[in-house]
Amino acid sequence: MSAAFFWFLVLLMAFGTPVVFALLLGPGLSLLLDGETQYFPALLARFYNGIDSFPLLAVPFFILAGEIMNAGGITASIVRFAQSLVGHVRGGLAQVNVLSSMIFAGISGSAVADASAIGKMMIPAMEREGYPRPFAAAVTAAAAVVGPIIPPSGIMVLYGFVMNVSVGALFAAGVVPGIIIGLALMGTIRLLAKRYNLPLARPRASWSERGTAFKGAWLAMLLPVILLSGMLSGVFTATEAASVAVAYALFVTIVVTRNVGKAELASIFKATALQSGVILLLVGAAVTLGWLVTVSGLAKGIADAMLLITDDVYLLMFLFNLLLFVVGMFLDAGPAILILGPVLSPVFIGLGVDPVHFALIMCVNLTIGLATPPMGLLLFVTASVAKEKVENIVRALIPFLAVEVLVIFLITFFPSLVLTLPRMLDLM
Amino acid sequence: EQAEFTIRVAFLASQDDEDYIGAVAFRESLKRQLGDRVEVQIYPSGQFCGNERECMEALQSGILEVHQTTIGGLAGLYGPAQVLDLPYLFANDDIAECVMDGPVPKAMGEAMLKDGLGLRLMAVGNTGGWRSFAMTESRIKSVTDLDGLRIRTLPSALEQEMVRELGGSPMALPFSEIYSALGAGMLAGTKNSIQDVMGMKFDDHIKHVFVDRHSYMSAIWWYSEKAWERLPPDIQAAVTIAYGELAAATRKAAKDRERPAIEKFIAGGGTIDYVTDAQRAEFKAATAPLRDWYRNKYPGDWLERVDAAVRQCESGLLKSTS
Amino acid sequence: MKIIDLALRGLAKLNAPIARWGLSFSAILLALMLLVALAQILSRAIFNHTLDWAEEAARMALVWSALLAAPMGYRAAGHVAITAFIEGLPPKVLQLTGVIVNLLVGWICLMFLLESVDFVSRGSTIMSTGLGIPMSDVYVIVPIALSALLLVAMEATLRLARAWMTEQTEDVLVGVLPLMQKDGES
Ligand code: NA
Ligand code: NA
Repeated sequence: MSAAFFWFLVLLMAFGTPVVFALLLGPGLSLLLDGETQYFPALLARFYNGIDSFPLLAVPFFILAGEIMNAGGITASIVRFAQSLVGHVRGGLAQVNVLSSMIFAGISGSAVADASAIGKMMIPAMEREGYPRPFAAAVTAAAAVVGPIIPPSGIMVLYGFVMNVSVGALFAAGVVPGIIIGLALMGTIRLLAKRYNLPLARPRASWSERGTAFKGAWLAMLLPVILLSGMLSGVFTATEAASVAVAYALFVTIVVTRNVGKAELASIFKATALQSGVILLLVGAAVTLGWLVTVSGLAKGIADAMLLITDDVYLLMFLFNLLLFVVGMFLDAGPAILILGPVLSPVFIGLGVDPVHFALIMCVNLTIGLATPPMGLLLFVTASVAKEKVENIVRALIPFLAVEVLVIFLITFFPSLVLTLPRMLDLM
Repeated sequence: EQAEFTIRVAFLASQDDEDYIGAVAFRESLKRQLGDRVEVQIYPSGQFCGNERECMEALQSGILEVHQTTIGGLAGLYGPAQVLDLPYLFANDDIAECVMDGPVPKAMGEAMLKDGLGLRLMAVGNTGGWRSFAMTESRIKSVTDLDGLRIRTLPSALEQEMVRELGGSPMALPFSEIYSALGAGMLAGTKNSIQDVMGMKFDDHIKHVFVDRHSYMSAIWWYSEKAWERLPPDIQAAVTIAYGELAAATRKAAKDRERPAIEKFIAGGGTIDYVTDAQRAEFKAATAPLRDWYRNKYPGDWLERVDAAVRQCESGLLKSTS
Repeated sequence: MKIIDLALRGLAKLNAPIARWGLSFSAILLALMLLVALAQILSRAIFNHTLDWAEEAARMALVWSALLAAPMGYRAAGHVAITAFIEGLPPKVLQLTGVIVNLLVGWICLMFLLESVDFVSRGSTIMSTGLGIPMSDVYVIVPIALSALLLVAMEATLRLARAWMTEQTEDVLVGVLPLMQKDGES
């Protein structure tokens, strides 16, 4: 089997083939060219079984929870609360955007949900206050990266399932890196505020105003507490947490705030079915491609090549991050994990890297890849929410991406940032 | 240069598992016998096929040559095989190995071949030793000690039924979730081998292991019938020999790992209780309804044949040691 | 041209309701998945009893739900594609590219559809471990979804081919052409 599929894939994607079909066509055309069509059954089986996996249930559930909370005004109350806290500094609304994303990340497990929820609220609001639209979209995309890094997290559930790593430990390991990324972005906005002439601040909210804002948001902010304590006390597993998030969102919006009606609920379920269907098919197609990447020997070739360059673990970690970053430019985080995880993790664990640390580097790096061109789901989501060209968003995104890359190296070379919390919670 | 045949070996376990050791032994045996005529490719960690069902289908369609299933994993394809998973069936490794090398698995393999399932049973190895009760707080002395306790099982009906008959509450959970479920108190214990307890660091939460060795973790190794028909007789013969070496390597690896695991567990402050003859009889009696459960589900005489094989192995081994 | 128009109209009449019904069914399965997942948690917490069919049922609903939403994803241009590299090309070139791309998509759908016949029949030898039903009953969604996708691919190919042959420059975007809006739906 040749690696022709790689070139087919690049060509097909460049010519605008829907990515899901390009991922299937690449291997299909490649096997046809090599005269090895007897392996078509494997392509179909991998496609089916790539979707048929329990942790993937978290995908529709996390999207559903996000959609319900959006419709129910929960997102709005989170934004109001964040505004009362940090709205008074120069570039305050951009800070609010990041802080809202961090809070929302405690509820949602997907970057896409984070970006569409916060983006729908914040991008128009920022534009009204005089922020350039590409900048508003870029902040949203950069901040949404924390969605699956701060727990709960869809991709960590996937990683834990595929690579036999405790999902609870991964969740705990994501907390500190997620907060670091959020704070780093807020710091960057602070630095950029003068140079970009970001809009001036609004008056500082009084403590009573903050109290009122908190009252509106506390129900939403209770959810991370519920999820975390439910998982730590053993009422439900990390995989099941996604369905609890949906149940809670339904409870709050239907029973407590009464913001969502039956008709709206039907359209929420349909929208979620479409969104999650698209993502799940992408995962299935990426698993199919991953099969050929493995069986054709390309994956092993890459791993061997890395070990050939050096056996110094720090240098390898550096190269590994570069590889992930490049892969993240082209592949979605979930599929990239499914393809590269089983190939690369034995190499690094053999060199003494902690499995949870390795997992976290991979998840963080590939999640940031969701905001890198040409293939970046976060770019597409914010582009469609903001009605702005992807290229313009990318230009405004560069300083934020640079900061996030720095954070990747920070957590790569200081494992204690990642591992201290799960060890304290006795999860590993 | 190019090998005449490529043989792909795929399994779900990682490179740390007995399965991998067996696959390497298989590859080396063929290399020794046939040189470069056959190329063996090993795919661990579900890289070729992601679950038992998919792997079996890959064997059936002839795109995968070699795969290993547990008996539980075989349940969907050939339910009667579960007779070999009934608890407290084999007293020790010697008897388990004797039965697995004997007429029963062979007859099952032939029955499956005759049913047109497209799978050729080649050898029975071991993957992980023996299942025992590994508990967080409770020290098991009798069946009543399991009352109301939540025990992790595989998603197999037989395993869950067994825990119920012992008074416990079964919970099927992915292997990767056991550690945190034990830590969170979601589980009171798990049915795993001491090797797995130590390998997955469950001993952070597991304090007591009741070594009752209730089920032998067989690994049934298959060859795709479609692919088998493509092989010339001399290669078929070499492959058959290689399977023997594979099974022996996995059994040896599992046994070699047990003693150090137990010692390490005790050194870490854990308690080990080896099952006594009386306890074994008690647990066996308590799970006896499982035999009826099996008989109702799968009519036929497999149960009798297995019992006969066990008796034969027991007496044969007695004779050979006396 | 008349034949193309006729075929296009027929395909649109067929594909629009298939996509709509598929998505509705997909949404219902999503709701069922949620109920099953919650039932499992509650059953365990309250009755200390694990439902041994729940995981399998939820997974089956997941696959069905994803595959049933696929035709709508294709028709409504919901599947992600990268258009940055081709946006500058002249409309006629884009249309021709679109014809080729959608033909290829149709080809892979057809290959998978043919393959799925064996896939389903192999499934009849394997029982699902939780619910105890033959896997072929579950796999049957694969040929159904692939047939629906093949029809959409034919519709997209024909529409772009027609646009290429006429002076029409409205339909240009390859593979991400939202067919649905043209039907006056949303
Ligand atoms: Na999150
Ligand atoms: Na990217």
